[in-house]
Formats: sequence, structure tokens, C-alpha cells
Amino acid sequence: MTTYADIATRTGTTIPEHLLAQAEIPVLPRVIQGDVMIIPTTDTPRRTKPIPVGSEGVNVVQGDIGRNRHILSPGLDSSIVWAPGVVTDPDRDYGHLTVTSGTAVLTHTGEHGSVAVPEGTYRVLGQLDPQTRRRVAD
Amino acid sequence: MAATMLTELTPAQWADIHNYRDQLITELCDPNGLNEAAVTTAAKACYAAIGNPKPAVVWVDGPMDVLLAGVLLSSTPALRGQLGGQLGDQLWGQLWGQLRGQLRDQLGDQLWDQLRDQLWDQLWDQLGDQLGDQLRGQLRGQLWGQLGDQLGGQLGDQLWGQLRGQLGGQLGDQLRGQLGDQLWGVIGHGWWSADMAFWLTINRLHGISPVADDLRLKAEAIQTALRCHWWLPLGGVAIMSRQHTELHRDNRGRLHNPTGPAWAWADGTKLYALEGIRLPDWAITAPDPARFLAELTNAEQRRVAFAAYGWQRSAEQLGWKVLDDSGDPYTGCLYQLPKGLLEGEEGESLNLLVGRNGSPHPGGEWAMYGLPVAKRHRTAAAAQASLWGIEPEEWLAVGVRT
Repeated sequence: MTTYADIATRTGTTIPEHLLAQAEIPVLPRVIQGDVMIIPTTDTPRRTKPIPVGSEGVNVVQGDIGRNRHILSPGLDSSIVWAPGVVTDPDRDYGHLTVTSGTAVLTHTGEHGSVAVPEGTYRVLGQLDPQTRRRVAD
Repeated sequence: MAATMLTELTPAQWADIHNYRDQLITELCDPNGLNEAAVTTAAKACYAAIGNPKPAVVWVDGPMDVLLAGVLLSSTPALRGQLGGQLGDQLWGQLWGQLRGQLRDQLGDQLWDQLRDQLWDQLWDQLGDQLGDQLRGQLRGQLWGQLGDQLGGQLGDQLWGQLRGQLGGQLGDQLRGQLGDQLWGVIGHGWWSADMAFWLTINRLHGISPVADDLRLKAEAIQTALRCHWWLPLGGVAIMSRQHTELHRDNRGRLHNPTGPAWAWADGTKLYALEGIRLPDWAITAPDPARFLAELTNAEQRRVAFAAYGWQRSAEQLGWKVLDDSGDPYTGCLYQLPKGLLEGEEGESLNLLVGRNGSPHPGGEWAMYGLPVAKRHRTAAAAQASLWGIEPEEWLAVGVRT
């Protein structure tokens, strides 16, 4: 079980004041956190270099002036590999995630609660705004 | 490691710390909260502390004027020398009065970011490194070890976290966004006053062995100097911005004013914002939901603009028709928009999906977003899925949304 407090300590983030530090982070294979989704995939990443992710995590998305960061990090006793870039959709994909053991946790520096996915391979993607033909920006 | 360690504070000590913290935030936010004479003295002390001659200190009306005065003074080193004399204030007043408007016109179209090299002065590095980083390091080195882990964490959360969050995160970063990262590095910013305040507060605690007077006095000088939110230290002269004339925040300390500028200075610099989200001036002074759709392409800007104006009011005014109300606030309601109201890059007409965030905001309120979607979708779920490029069934299978 990984809690908000576990991840906040390791990633150097602050737990949003409306969330309980000791609450368990939900683990499910399909999750959405704000404008970022993680879904299972059997596709492999295109021309990207996988990198192991330490407990401090890696920024998947970073908004204006550092706000609204979505940080991917391994849960407790977990191991994950992140390959930023295109998996299947050049307009939406942030990258390919492999959870080799345990869980991968997605943390947000704003209001969104943390979510986690179990062992498996995943696409991490955003929304495409048809008005601007860019990812939805906040 | 200190011989004794402070592990807890009394309720009275905590009350003092909370009062001090709140008073400091109030003073730094109050249009009348800046003691210019004290800041002038402290700025001179900062120069002296790094072995530089005490500078002339000139005051201008806001952050843009700091930059304009910086352009003027960095290009006229001889003038800087004259400002230190007896008639320096008079000379500066006359020159600034004559040249400010001219400079503003000349630089009006120039990208501010290009000015960085012109305004950068080695002195800022010296002040930052020697007075900022080194002092902070010394204070931390001598004081942190005297605090138990738990007390250190509590002080970090309740004093430093609040000061940093409210002053740096909510206000400092907003102006940083306005000025651009490049210029942000050029102008000093008062939020680090909070950093020194944190260490000086620990230094005063009963049960802590205080640092040497010399170190404390330097820290106090920089803390006082940094109460001026915006200043530019040059060789021979420090340019300081007077306090803002208006600052409006919501109950979470975020820039917020639905009727005018949220932050303004007498030099004409104005920031408009709702819930800490910066907006163009027209979105506040002449709000128009049709323009929100056409011009506010950032989802957060659109959200706060519509929330202030009213979603229902906008729908009625602009003639939106409900195509599908899913009944689930997260999946949302799909609106058909009149032709030409919302268009894509290639001129295609779009509809609008209005749905709720997966998590409430920290204040407990639920944020509603308006997302453009292609006209072909007939249900809100299909429109949601299209934004992610997946099938509606796959979108509906998502287990958790926050």
C-alpha cells in the first residue's frame, strides 16, 4: 500500500490540503488524473529511449511557470521504466510506461488526487483540443 | 550537532510564530506596508556587506519602471556616480521626469527579454551568492541541527510553507509569468524575504543558541531590503520599486479580482486574474463569452472566465442548445453551438462539452471546464472519448478519475 504521504515525501511535493496524508492511493489499470490518462497498451514505443525512474519521479507534464505538474514515480517497493515520446498517437502521447514490479503512481502538484496503475505496460496520454489542434493546455 | 535539541514549542510560541507569519504576509501585501526609509538603509547595508561602496538608491513606481530606469542607468555609468552626491535626488527626479515617457515609447515594441543582457549586472550574482545563498547556508548549518526532526518539519510546514506558498507561489510566480523567465532573473524579488524571515524566527526561539550578531545583522539587512518586491542592483545605484497600489486576493491567497486589476502599480503595470489564473484585461473589464470561446484557448483561463460570467448566462445569451446531458457531472453536458461561434484551425464549426473536474479544488468547490469538441459527436461520452482519441467504451471503463 502506498499513501499520499509516502509519495509526497519521495517526490518533494506537497499533499493538497483537502486530501488525507495517510489515505491509500487507488490502484487500477485505467486511470485519469485531470488532463492525463494512463491506459494499458500492447504497442511498443517508437524511437524512444526507456529510462528507469527513481523514487523522486519524473515530470510527465509541466504547466505554465511550473504549475500543474504531473509526476510519475514508483510506488513503495516498485520498479518502473519511462519512455517519453510517441506510442501510437503523435498528437496525444506523452510516453510509454512499464511497471516491472509493484505500482506506478501519478501525482499532481495541484488539486488532483494521486492515482496508480499495477504491473503492466501503458500509454500515458493527454487530450487533443480540436480548436487549437494542440494538447489541452492549462 | 548541538548539545541540546529543541523538540517542541509551547502553545504561546506557536501563537507568536503564527502571528508573525500572518503579519509579515499582510505587510508585504499591503499597499502601505513598505517602509522605504528602512529598505533604503538595508539596501545600502547589503552592498556594504559584500564589500561594495554604498549605492545611491532611487525609487520608481513599479516593476516596469524598474526596468526602464535600469536601461537608462546601465547605459549611463557617469550618471550613476552623480546620483550619489548631495543633489542626487533632485537630479534623478528631473531626469526621470523627462526621460521616462520617452524611454517607454522607445522600448514599447522591444521584447523585454532582449533587455536581459543589458540589465544583467554582476552585482546581482554577488548579492545573491554571498548574501543570499551563503547566509542561508550558514543560518541553516547553525540552526537546523538544533531542531528535532518533527519540530523542523512543523516549522517548515507552518512557517516556511505558508510564506513561500502565499508570497512566492501565488504572487511572485504570477509576475514571473508576466515578465518572462529571463527578466525574472534580472529583477530581485521580495519573496525571498520570507526565506530570511524563516531562519531569523528560528534564531529568536527560546532554547536555540542564536547565531553571531554579525551574521544576524546581515540576514536582517537582506530581509528588510527584500521587503521591496522588485529591485535592480547596479554598480553605484540600486533601483527600487515602490509598493503596489492595489492587490486583491481570494481566501486562498491567490490573485483574484472580478472587477478590475488584481495587482497594480502606479507605473501602469497591471495584472488581471481570477483564482490565481492570469487573464487578458478585456476578460475582466469587458467580459464577452463569445470572445472567451474564440480567444481563451487555455482550459483554465476559459474555466475561470466562464465561472465568473456564469455558464448558464452564457448558454442563454449565445444560444447554446443541449445535445446530450449525460446526467453524470464528470461526463458532462454536450452543447450544440450556433455556427461560427467556436471554430477550429481550419474553420470547422465545433461544439462545447461542459463537464466537471474529477477532484474538488482544495476549497471544496468543483471546477467546470468547457472543452471544444467536433460537431459529429451526439453524446457527451463520445465527445469525452474523442478528446483522448479512444473509443467511448474504453473511456467509460476508466476506473478512477481524480
